[in-house]
Amino acid sequence: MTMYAEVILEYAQNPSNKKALIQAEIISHDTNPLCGDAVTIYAQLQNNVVSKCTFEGVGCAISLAAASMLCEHVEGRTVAELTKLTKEQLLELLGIEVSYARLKCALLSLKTLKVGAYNFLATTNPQPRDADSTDAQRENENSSTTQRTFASTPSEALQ
Amino acid sequence: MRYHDLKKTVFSDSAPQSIMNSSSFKKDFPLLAKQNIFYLDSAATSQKPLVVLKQMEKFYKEKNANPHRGIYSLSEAATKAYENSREVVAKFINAKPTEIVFVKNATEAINLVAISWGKKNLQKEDRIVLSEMEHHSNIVPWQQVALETGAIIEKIPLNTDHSALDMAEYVRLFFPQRMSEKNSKYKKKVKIVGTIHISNVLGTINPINEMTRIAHQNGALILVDACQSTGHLPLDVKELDVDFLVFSGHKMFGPSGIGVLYAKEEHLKNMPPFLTGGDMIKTVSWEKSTWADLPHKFEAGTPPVAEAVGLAAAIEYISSIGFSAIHSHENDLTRMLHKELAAIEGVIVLGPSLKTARGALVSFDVNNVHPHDVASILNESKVCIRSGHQCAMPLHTSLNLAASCRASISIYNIEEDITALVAGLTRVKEVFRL
Ligand SMILES: Cc1ncc(COP(=O)(O)O)c(C=O)c1O
Repeated sequence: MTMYAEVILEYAQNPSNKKALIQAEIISHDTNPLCGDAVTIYAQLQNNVVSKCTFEGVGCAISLAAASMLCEHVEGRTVAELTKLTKEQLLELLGIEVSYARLKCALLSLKTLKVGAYNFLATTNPQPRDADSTDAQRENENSSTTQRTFASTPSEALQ
Repeated sequence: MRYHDLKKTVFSDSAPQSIMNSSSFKKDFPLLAKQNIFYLDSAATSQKPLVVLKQMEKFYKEKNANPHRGIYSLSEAATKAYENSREVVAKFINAKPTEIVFVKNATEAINLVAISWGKKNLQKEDRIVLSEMEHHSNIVPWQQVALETGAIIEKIPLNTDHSALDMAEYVRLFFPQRMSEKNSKYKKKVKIVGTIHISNVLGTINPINEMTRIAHQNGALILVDACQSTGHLPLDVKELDVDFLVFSGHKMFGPSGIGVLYAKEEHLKNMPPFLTGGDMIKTVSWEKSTWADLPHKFEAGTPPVAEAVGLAAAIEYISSIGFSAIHSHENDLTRMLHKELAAIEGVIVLGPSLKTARGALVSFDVNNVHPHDVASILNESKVCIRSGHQCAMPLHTSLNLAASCRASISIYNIEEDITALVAGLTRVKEVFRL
């Protein structure tokens, strides 16, 4: 089965949500240095609900399509819901069989968005951590680039 | 046939077409005979001929014991098999057996030199000169040693069309920064040059003789990464006069898990051990240990005996075909590959043009399609190519690319492999509506 279904290419080549949202509350950036993929996800919030989500980035068709579909999918969800998104949900969104070697491409934007959501929650209500945020911490620590490049202000994130 | 003669023949289109079409070598490779694939990634690792697998199996069935350790006949047979392999390797590159150190792969060989030779000989501000086309394996170990010793890495840049090294810049690296201040602290001391023989990305064949002469004239040693030349071109370390030469068995029809460090005996004698423990010692007491003779001083622990036997079998397989037959087959296919790729609209071919000799590989970029997408789509039609930064991130940065695609050629490839690649690339363009 091909990974390059029409719909994947449509999303990869003409993503309607590929743009920066400078005013976004969540701005998260990460890279996949092995592939040269890089993505920045922007999520604008209203009462902790995503009102608009966009992305910018360079990469392969799989990673771009995943980013675009993910942004579409999360509009209307709460930040807490973002942190609970799973790999399986993303793969279901893509609707293709992603080969093992390409999983990293498919999952980059999900990881980036989740780290952004966790960081947002950590800075807005720094409460004692529950099990979920311990996970977040771990995810964060595993991704040194995110830690280093996560910006405190939107303009920094765009640099 | 020596390298110089090969250079002359590289320009000819003379090989009989029949060789290119026949699968006379392909049948020697069980994996290729069984699986219906178009394998164009031999520069990453080659497929293995049956003779290599057979010899390894024979070793385990008939001679397996720990070499150098047992007094009994079986252990002696294992020792002989291992040391015989060393002799085969030595003869293959015209070295002495005492100058051949078996390691796990080329990467380990470079680490051995960087750590053992480097820590002993490099001082603050000494220069380590590396070509801009190096594989990560010939960059990262030197960076680590530079951190510890304070030595400085300088690079030999590419020429303007990114097809070869800029030799004028190479020469300039040996001169003091301020010519007027002779013997001043500004004098750069280049201690070692590290260069790839054939670039695994560009296919460029670097002028090792000339680079070695210039390094030696200026009191520097030279290490050559021959991963992409062993098995494709004859190598003669005496003629090349290099100080260190490294390669991996798995890229030349041998098994994985064995690589070779060649070093001039004078260097090995003066280098401290790399890994230590059993087998590499002469005597051990609680106070101190003394080292075994060369080359065993550098081989700690039970060595990869079956792998050494496999590597020797691979060399015998190569010798049975002969370098001129290998070269003419690979050269014809590489030329065809280059021409076909260059003819596709939207495909950019990297490295030297066909006017210059090149290694048996061609890297390319498909405009507006990520190399991983190219490789995934090609995989759907069973075409296997390399895609990514090819373990040469700094080179890709210089080329202004995040990644690239590479098709590489070996003796078992046939025209059909290239035809399948070209058809696959047409499909890539269709899928991406280009
Ligand atoms: C030019 C070159 N140098 C070094 C290496 C490293 O070889 P290995 O991974 O077997 O140590 C490779 C292969 O990946 C190579 O192509």
